[in-house]
Amino acid sequence: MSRFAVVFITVVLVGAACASQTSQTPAPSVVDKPVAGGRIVDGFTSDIKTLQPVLSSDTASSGVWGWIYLSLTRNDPDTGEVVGRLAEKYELSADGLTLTYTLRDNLVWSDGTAFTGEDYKYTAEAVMRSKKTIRKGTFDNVAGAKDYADGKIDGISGIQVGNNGKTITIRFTKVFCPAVSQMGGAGAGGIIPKHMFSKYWDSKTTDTTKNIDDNTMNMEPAVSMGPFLFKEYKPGDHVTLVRNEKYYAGAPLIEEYYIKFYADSTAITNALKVGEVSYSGVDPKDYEELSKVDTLKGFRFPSFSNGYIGWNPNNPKAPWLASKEVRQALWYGLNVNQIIDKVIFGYGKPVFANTLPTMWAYDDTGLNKYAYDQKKAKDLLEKAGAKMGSDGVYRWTDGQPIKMKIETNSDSNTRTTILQIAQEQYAQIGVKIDPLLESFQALTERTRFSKPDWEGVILGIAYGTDPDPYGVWHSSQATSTGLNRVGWSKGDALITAQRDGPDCSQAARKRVIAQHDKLLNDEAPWTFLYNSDNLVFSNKQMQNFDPRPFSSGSAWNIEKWWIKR
Amino acid sequence: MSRFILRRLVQAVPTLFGIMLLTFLLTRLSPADPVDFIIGGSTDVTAEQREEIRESYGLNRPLPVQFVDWAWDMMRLDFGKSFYSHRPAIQLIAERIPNSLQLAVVGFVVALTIGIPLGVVAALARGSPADHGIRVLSVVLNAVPDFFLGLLFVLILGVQLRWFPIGSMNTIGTDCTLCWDRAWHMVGPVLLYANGGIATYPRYLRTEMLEILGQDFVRTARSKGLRERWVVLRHVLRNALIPIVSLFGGILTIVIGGSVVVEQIFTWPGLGRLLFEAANNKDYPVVQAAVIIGSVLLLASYILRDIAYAWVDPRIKVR
Repeated sequence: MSRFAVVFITVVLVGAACASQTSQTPAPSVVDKPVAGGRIVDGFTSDIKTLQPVLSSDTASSGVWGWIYLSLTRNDPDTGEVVGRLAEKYELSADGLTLTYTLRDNLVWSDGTAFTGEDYKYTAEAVMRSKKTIRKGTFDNVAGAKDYADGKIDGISGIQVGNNGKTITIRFTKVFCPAVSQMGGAGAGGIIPKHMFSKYWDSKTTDTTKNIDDNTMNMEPAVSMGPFLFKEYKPGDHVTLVRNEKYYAGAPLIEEYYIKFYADSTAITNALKVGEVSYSGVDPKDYEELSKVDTLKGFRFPSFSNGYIGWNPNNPKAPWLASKEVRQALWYGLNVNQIIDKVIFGYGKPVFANTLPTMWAYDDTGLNKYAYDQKKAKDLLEKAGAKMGSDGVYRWTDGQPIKMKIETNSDSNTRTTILQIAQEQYAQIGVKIDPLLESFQALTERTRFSKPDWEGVILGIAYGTDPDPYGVWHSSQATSTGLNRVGWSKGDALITAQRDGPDCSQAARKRVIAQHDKLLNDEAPWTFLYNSDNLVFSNKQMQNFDPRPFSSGSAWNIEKWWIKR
Repeated sequence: MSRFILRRLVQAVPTLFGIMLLTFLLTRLSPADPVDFIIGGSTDVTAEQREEIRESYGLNRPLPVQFVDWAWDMMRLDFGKSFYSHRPAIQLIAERIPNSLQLAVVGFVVALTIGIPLGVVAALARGSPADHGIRVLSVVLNAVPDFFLGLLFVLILGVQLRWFPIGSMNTIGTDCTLCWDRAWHMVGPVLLYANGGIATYPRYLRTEMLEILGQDFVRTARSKGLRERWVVLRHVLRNALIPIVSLFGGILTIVIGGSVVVEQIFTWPGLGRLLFEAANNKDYPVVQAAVIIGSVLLLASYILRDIAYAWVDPRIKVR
């Protein structure tokens, strides 16, 4: 190696060692009063697919159109309860069959056109006529929605707009308790401008072959009404938004909102360190390191997801999984607190049933906390009929060793580490685990309800803001594609009761959901693991940036953010 | 010559058909249902709605029918629409090709600019410390994985020292193609692109040159009293470089498939990243269109190369 090369490498390494991550402390500002202007850069790990809420099904796309199009309601950032946004108020009738929204005064689109209930109705009709949307389920109980989708009528009869477009009345065919939290976005999540889109697709048609699916404005929204307006999309690179001077809550102080697409979360972490990204969520492994960077400020709050090990009680090769005692033993035999410490570095809490601690329906009274107890696990296995073999592995009643697979996706370090820990700890209670790692696609395909050849699977789940357990736990979801892969059906009556009323009050629903959680906790079809925290870092120059558990997607106080220079 | 060209073109047809069949089968037979990706894990989609979605994308038809329809569309230059953005796949690919091509061409030029002189030095100074050094460098560069070199570049020169950008095509807020800012952003990815060439070309060239240096016409040139520099440049290097010309076709291979690592590490919005995301999302139309377009370009470049060779050396036509 030449002398030059040696000198060069030495300089690089010494320089790297000396370069301090904390050397870029912003100079103290002389002005602490909010000032307008500046750019915020938000890091995404994947490109957007569409800017049409009706068609969107990925988080990147909704992360962008969430700034552009709005819903009538949103969640309170701290409690998650539904509060008005474009709607000044909403009212669900005593019989639970009519929901009425009253819009705020003087709502306008970015081109000055008035926002009315007709925009809501148009969006709902666009959803029902789309062939490619995933959102039609919102209108299952809305009068006339199915007939409109089938082309029998030229509008959804159950949605009526009155009072000069200021009120929207939705009529349901049967009580649907989560309606209030689900109807505010007209099924799409964000309401689109009728006067723009109807140039390309007129909802007043019975021709079902016509729809909004291939509209040119789906990628280039010209008119919107969120805090920011679409300016430019460079595929694979970025989206630029600019502030909406007509935003109903007051124009944001931030001039430009720039969404930058990075290859992965590590690239975003690096971009945070060098000051390229203004704020972003980070992985638990990076939290401590980023906490030491003087230019950054960390935020930690609960997420809407949890991790679990699901047990398949229908696999004839592992008949012991049909026994409640065995499933309980598998919960007692796993040190969940150790998993939380080692795998997510303490950034999360154990959970013991479906409802997360941040949800309004959370009630852990009477839930078994399954404190790690190997002796209790062994007692339960023996109570279920298992007998210890000479090799330290329990034998089931039919004589076969209690030996089974647990599988997870190989690209998740978190889950593969959980699998290693589970394998070690279950061996200590006499249960032998064969680990199986595969691609996420192969994993979800193999562990469907319809496929009997799996025993345990480590996965995670992200919930909506309403605590309705229907999508995960109702027996109707135990299908070849549903999320109830373990096929648990004992909670159906409770799930239906909190969903179909007649009493849709929060107190009544909370009571029934708590009963469902207690049943689930006792039956243990899943070993619930943890509810991880959301970890976010922002550049310290960002002022009034204050993320809360329920503010994801559209930051609740965006109009107050400003950049200190 | 025309019969030779015709023969090569006819030979390309079954190759292309094979590629189409393989591409179709590999995408369709891989595990997981694309509808799962399209609905994004939604719990609100009923079986009936899933079927409607499947039907709207034509995924409910028997596989042979899907293949025939797709192949027929391809022949009419209809590459289909993305499952997600609903934009034409060809448009998505066309947006990304210039970005990838830019890196590949500059990377290739850099590789040649560094690799050829190193090869010449190694050949002329055979057995010297310089020769040994170049060969060791070659082995080291070949052995170290590209992603590792790329990450080192980003972490040390980008994050720690802040001498270079950590990725992207331009500084945020700057948008230009032929400018200093773009050149600055290209340093890392271009070096990574060029790494393979810098590792390979010197060894390749050294072997060729050593072989040519021992041939009669070189001795004749020297015996005629030509200056050594002239002999090397005019007779040896010129002949040794002819096989390297064939590497130009490799640029297309890099643009189509080999760019994934570089583009992922440096967040470069090229075709590699598009393909990576499309494959992850099971966006069949985009994956299939990219593979077929890439294959056609590659086949075309090979045919042109063969024609050029045949034109230069008529013996090839006979083989």
